[in-house]
Amino acid sequence: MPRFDKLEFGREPEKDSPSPKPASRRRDADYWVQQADENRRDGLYENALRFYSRALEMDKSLVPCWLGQIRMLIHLEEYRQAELWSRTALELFPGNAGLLAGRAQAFCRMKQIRRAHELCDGALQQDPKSAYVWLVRGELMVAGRQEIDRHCFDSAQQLDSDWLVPLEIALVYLDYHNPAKAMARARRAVDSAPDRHYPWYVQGLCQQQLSLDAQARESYRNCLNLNPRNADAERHLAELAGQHWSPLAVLRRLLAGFRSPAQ
Amino acid sequence: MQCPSCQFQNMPGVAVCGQCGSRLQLSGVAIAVHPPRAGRWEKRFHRWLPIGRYHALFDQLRAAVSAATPDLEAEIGRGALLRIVVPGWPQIFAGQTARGRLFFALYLATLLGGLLFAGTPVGGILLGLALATHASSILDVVYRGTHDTPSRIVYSAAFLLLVGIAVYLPVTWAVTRVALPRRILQDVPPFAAGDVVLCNQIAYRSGPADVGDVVLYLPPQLRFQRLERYMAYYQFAGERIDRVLARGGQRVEWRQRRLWVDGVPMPWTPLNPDVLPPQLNLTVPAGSLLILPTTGLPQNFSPTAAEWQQLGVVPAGSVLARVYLRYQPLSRFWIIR
Repeated sequence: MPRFDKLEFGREPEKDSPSPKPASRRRDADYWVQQADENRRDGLYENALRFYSRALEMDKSLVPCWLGQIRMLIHLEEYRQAELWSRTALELFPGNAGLLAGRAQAFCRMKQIRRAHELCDGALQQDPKSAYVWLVRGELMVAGRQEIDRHCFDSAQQLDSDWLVPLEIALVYLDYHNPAKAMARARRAVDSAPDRHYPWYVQGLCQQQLSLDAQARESYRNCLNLNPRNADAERHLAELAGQHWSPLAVLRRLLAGFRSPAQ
Repeated sequence: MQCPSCQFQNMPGVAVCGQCGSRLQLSGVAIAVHPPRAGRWEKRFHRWLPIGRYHALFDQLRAAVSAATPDLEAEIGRGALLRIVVPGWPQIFAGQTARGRLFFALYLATLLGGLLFAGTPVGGILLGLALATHASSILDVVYRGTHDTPSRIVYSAAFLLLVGIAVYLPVTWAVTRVALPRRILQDVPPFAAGDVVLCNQIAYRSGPADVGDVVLYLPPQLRFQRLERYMAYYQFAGERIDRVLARGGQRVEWRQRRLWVDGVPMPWTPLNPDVLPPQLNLTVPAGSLLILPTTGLPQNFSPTAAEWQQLGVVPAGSVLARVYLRYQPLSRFWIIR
């Protein structure tokens, strides 16, 4: 029943993540925000989304959490829901640059480029120093097959030196089937945070899509060394070893090739 | 009091930020903080079928409709206008649910009936009724949105033409590529007069027909004459249905009611082997196929061995479609092999 879709108790937590254990410290909004950020850095977007919601349960005025939810929904490919949620958040915080950019990104993923541009322009007017706004701007350039995407992404990286920025840029490129450009950004993220497993995983994805099988294998192994519970990395490693062949995967890859909007 | 969105310092006690308009007192307000989630199937559907890509096209279409029909749009709404492609949908959209459902149910019933009896007179009538229902649905929308006769005529004609070109023309074209109905006119085993068979026109796009396939083809146009009690002329032309028996360069022998190709016995026979002589030796030239027209001989005409050779050798390009299903009557519904 659709009304129960919104409830979360039916959803299982991501397999390779430890289930949230009762913490000894006080569980205030900051604690849940920190948990969410940590999960997001591990690529566990479902968990991160849940933690952002918990933080908001305690303090509804946390704009970064509203934005975090929207971004997690986009990562989870729930674009329509992300757009709807960004609209709700914008009713509470009208004109917020991050929320406008989030809505623009959702529209961009739904291929409504004109609307996305309008919102992104608004977001840039509100806050030209937000890395996320520039990231969305860059994604719009990629979606519109314009060559200046690199400048937008570079601006985003200059504004925020966190390794998560190049990593998310890499994910954007991967989403638009451009593994070569994604590779450069993923490598930067790996260089900045070699002790985190998720950048290794994303780098492996880029290398696998570029048919650099040996390097991809190495990246996945590094990822598994840092986090042995990363099921996706294991699966990709098995795929590379030829143990995991399925006609569905082949068909999906073929279709992905046809759908490729920008190379 | 600092705004959580723009960090502006507001006076204590104010409910809304003076700079950006954000709500400042959210603690007492009942707001859902759990976002809506997509179902598993919805995500899969969108991943496999990227409908979003066509939003720009829909936007353009919407703009074109708005520009072309300002009066209509003002009267009945753009949403209803765009839904004229499905009978009853604009009515349901405009709130006339019962009327819309009636249109849709009528259309569905006549369309399904028409498809079930496709190729027969009854099927033709039912498909015609389905089209009429759709046209009525469109006219209903136009009549509701216009008030003078010239506008009604112009808009009705324009929308009927638009739906015809945009919906029915491509759908008919696509369906007849893979399911072209052909009606059998006379009793010739294994067919009976009134049978409807379905043909696949794209089956041989990539290569010639396979030996053993039952095909719809155009035989060479021939005319034979016989001097019996009077001079009789037998005209041989038009589409025929029969089985491909051999390819170019092969030698074919028909004896003991069995087909031998290059000395090897074959499992298939022509569709109506009774009309063949007891013994027949044929050679198929390169680039041709051997299809003996056993189901399409003129009445009282018994070809000689030389005439069978003339009649049976068909250029490979003359094969029009593969015949794969006897569709009507439903009591004899069967796959043709």
